[in-house]
Amino acid sequence: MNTQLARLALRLYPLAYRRRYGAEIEALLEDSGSSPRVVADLLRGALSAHLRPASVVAGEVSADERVRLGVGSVLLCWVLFAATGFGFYKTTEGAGFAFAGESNGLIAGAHLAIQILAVVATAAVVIGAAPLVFAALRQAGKRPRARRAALFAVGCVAAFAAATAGLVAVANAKPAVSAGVAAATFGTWGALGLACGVGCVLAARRGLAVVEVSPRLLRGAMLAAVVVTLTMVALTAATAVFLVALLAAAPGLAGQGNGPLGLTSVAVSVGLQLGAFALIAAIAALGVRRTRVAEVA
Amino acid sequence: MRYISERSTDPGLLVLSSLAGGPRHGYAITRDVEEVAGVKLGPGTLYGALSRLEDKGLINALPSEERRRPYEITGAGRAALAEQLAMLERVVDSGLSRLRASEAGA
Repeated sequence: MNTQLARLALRLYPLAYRRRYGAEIEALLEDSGSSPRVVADLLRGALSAHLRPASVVAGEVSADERVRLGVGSVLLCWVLFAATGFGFYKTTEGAGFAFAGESNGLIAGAHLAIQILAVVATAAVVIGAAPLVFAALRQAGKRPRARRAALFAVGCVAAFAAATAGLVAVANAKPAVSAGVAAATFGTWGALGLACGVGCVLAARRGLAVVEVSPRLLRGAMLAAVVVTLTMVALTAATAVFLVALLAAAPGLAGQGNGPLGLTSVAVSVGLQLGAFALIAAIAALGVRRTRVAEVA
Repeated sequence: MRYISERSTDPGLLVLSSLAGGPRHGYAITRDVEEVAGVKLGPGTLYGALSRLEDKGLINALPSEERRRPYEITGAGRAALAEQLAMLERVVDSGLSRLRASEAGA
């Protein structure tokens, strides 16, 4: 069990480290065994390797691979960011927020900025990903791994479409379903949506690793990834402004019950979402930082 | 100039001290460090130290032997280790003499 956990922890290291030291660390684990302390040590080492990469391992991953990995990382971060953003949307969709916005320009302005930035980021994802998706589909016939990745992504999209159809059916059922059934259906749909989104991203990363694309297309995808990352940072800042304005101008609304069974307040929910936004944006920025676009020929 | 660290149990210092005795691979380094200093280096800590030392040119990686790659200390590594150990020796000597003086005076 500890050995398996240690191997999983090893997979969290950057690819360059795994290529350079992976075999040695596995040999060391075989020689000295594993324990919870060893697993924790590997997790700390993986974090340190991401935050302070050593230049000695830089040559293990080509510039082309670094760009592909960076694009894939940002895409995964965007899916998680969007899922959290959907939570923010559900938290702030009530009529009370519209009224608070009418009374306070900062609340309204921050909320509007969040919506605009979300559209900008989504557009950047589509513009950056579309050429790569078309390239993967064109090459699917010649490359079995690209074909499997494309089929898996299509399967994820189909599953989510079916789940959405089910949600719409439940929402429009006559007679209407109970609140509990509606909440459970919505929760299941949300979880499935997140799983399908992550599945699509993993398929995209696998396809991106094997598909042949021109350096120009790859550079375009990386620039789109930079735009998405900057937008996530701006979204995080706008959410912080929204939360501060809400607490200052509408403390009653901020203190209202929110979330499943009203276990948290609006302010706590938005605060947690803000924390998640900040963490995800930081991870995306780290992924972009390690990618040197100028080295793509 | 501080090449390594100011902590006497810094992993980099312990690894360099171990390699001063000859090339060793990862497991041999951890065994030697545990024997000499009583410190158990985990794989994450060890390879973090090895990558930083290699970055600074204080150690070299040698060809692998069945997935176990030995490392050797370089000339720059020997110089850095000597400087660090000399500093620690001064700290030890000063601390011990002050302890003795304060015990004698007490």
